[in-house]
Amino acid sequence: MTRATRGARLIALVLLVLPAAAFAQSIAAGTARNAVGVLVVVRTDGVEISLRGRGAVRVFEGDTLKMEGKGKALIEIDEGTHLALNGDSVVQILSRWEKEQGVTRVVRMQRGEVWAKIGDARRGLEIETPVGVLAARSAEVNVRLVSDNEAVATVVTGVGEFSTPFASCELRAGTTSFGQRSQACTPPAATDIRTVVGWSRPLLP
Amino acid sequence: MKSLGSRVFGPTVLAAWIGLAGCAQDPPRPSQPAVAQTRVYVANESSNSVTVVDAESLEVIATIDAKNHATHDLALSRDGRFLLATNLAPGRLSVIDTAGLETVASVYTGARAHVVAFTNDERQAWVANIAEDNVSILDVRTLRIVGTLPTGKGPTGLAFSRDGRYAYVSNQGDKTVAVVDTVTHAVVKRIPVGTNPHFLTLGPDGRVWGCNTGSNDIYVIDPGTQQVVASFQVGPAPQQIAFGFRGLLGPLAYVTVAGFNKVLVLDADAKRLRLLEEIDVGDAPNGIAANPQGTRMFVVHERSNDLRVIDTGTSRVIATVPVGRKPIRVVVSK
Repeated sequence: MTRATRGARLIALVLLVLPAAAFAQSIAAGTARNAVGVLVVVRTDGVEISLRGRGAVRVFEGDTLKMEGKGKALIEIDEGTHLALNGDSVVQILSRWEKEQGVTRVVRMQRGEVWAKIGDARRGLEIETPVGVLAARSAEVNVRLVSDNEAVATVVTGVGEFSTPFASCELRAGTTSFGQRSQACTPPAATDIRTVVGWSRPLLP
Repeated sequence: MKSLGSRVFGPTVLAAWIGLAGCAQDPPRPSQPAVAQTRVYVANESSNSVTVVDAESLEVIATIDAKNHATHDLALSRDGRFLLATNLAPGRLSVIDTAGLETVASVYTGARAHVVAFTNDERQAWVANIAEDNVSILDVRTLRIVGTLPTGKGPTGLAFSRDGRYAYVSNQGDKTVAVVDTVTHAVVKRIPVGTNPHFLTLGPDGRVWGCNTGSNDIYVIDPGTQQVVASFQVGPAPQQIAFGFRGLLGPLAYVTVAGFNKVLVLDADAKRLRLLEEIDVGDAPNGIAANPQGTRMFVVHERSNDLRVIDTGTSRVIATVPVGRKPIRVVVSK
């Protein structure tokens, strides 16, 4: 292949790829890697894609992730952060942008239970529920939404901050706090971590 | 854990305090009382921006990119340092640093984020999400969503009572205003109103005033009884209400009536609501806000794309300032 031919092919490749990049609407947020049962990823335009067993389904900003029936699923979100869904969980993958801090990944729970291991110390993860939000970085956490009016936040390793509209509670490793509508988060209490996060272990690579 | 919000606003706030500390040793003796610059902020829904206007010179200071789409409602902190703007299309709230005149954060609140209001202590901002039938609670310090409240179908208006005990949320879908106890976060009452209730405003009498855009009237809710104590037919598509004075007369309620291209002036005494005057304005008036003295009304027009300034003393439009496309909401620094 001559130098001119290589150059022409390179230009053609750039022209093919550039428009897709320039007009891309969806912001990649991670990849669903494993589902015990069926994980349904619902795009913001309503298009659905399912994952059964191991695979690689891309997840974009704004997607809603739903477990069909009683299953479990593992999603790699951003770099080094893993998120697992339990039972009939429904979550939405969101973000907050700040000029000084860049993007913070946000997981909004509508139902169920999630576990997360946040690996990148620079980027935190926030798990929102209707009654409070757990924020953490370089930590392993679990949040269970008991109902629209009650959530349980647990920090397995590291430190997290559980905030309700009425108070904030700093959670250290091995502690749990409850959030209930119209009430402050309960003071951190020691908990049996193995019982709380045991469900997520079979999913881990 | 260091707060995200404090990092966003930290340098600005710190600089202001350092500036004050520097003056402490030798306080200047100003020849005139200090007057902060009053600014007018306009949300331009089809330009995705906020126009900033000097309330005295009426010159456009800046046009701020909201870094979102379909910028709709605004809430300004009491000290004027930051401005929150809802964006219908992405369901996000833009956080604007008014000193730097730029958007410094964008927070997802919920589908079709429509209106925003600070709580009276300004520790939180509540955002009504039309397509989710709920209100998101933003912690202003951390910029985290710390809770979500179901309020009714299609929430489109939001205001807090004078004592902060209740939030009022108008719901277009069920033609009600939900009264939310801000301590228990429970909806304690649903007050029937008219068709398409929209923006809500706290009146100078401590009552909550609202427009029924679909049934051509305004209504007044008394927080003491949680009932509608007055209503008044104003004409097609009333949009928003502000309060001011005409010389000795007042307070008066100024209502934008989009279908008439007029601002109607009413006696703001809820016991004797009556029409005093009609003021011709531009095409499809929507947002309206008064200066702190109540002597100027700033009215934005979603079809003529401008801001018109009414001198309440003469009830005349004294200036027209072009703004962005489809301006919906206007707020004025206090």
